[in-house]
Amino acid sequence: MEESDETAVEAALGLSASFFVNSVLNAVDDVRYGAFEYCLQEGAPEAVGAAMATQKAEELERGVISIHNLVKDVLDKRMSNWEKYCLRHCFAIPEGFLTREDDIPAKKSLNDGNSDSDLDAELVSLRKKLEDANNESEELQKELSSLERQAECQRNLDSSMAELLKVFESKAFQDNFQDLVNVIPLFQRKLEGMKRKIVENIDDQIDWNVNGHHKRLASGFTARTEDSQDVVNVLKKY
Amino acid sequence: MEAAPAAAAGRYGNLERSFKLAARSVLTACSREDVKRAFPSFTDAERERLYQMFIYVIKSLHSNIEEEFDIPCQELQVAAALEKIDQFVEEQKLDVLSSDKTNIEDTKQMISKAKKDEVEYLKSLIEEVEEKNNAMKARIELLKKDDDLAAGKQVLEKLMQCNSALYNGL
Repeated sequence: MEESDETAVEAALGLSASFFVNSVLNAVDDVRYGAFEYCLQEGAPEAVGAAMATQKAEELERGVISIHNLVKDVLDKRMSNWEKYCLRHCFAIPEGFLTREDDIPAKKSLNDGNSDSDLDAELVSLRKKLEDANNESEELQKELSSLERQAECQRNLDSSMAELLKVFESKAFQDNFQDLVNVIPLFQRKLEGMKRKIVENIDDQIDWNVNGHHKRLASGFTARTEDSQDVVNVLKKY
Repeated sequence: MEAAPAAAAGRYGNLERSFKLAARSVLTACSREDVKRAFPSFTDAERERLYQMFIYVIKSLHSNIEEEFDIPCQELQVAAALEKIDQFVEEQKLDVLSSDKTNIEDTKQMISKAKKDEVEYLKSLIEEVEEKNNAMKARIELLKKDDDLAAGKQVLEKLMQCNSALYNGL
């Protein structure tokens, strides 16, 4: 038991436990010593007779001292155990005994901070907000995926367009295209001529069907071949 | 300070009883064999008389020890002092509601703390999700701005030029 603890306990009990225990143990020692002092002075000599006591005085004294020590050892051991039991159990101070006057104020300070109903309302609000944020996240993810697919298609299209643009901008294409533009009037005139011959051929066929002449049909085919040759010759000039 | 075991007889009763048990040990402290060893050259008759004397003295010693115990107990009011502790312990046992109230208060404190912890957790979670959402919004805006058909338009312009040239040639 510490000094400060013992002082506090002494004040609370109105009693010093160690003082009491020491008083008892000292009293026991005094009584035991007195008892065996009697044995030495009177008891033993009377038991063996005055003559024998005188004759064997030394052995008699040693014997009494020996028995005294025997009793002292037993008694000391048991009293020591009693002392420990007293201090640890009988005089042990239960929790709260020294501070019971301070318990009540301590309990009154337990209700500080937010009330539970406020916390509950905040929790409900936060859970709703989290749900909304998660929903928005889901929608944004869908939109993002869609836009990324579009972006990839766009990149592919741009790549194709770039290739196509190269073709259009190449010198070879531009030269060939110009030649094509120049030859168009010739094609126009040849086509007009061919139209006339086709009409004539149709008339010839009608005559053949009616009159049964094969020659006119052969004549129509020859005209077509001549027209085709003209077109090829024009193209060869370029 | 150790917790004290609650005894039906009270603390003073335990203290007194344990002392008497300790004192009683003196009654069996000395045997005939002990006396025989202590007084080897004496006759058996003399040793027997010595043994009887020691037993008589030891019995008196035991009685005196018990009497000596009562004196400081009364002088120091030990019984009254220990009674205070007994009463306090008894009050604690009877005050079951007080004990339960303390436990209930502790439970309320734990629940309140758990709710506060959850509030903080939800706040951090919301912040995390919102940051992620903002990042996605920024990327979406970027992708929308990049919706450019410039290349296609260029090709289309070239085609229109070619077509125009052809028409002019007719």
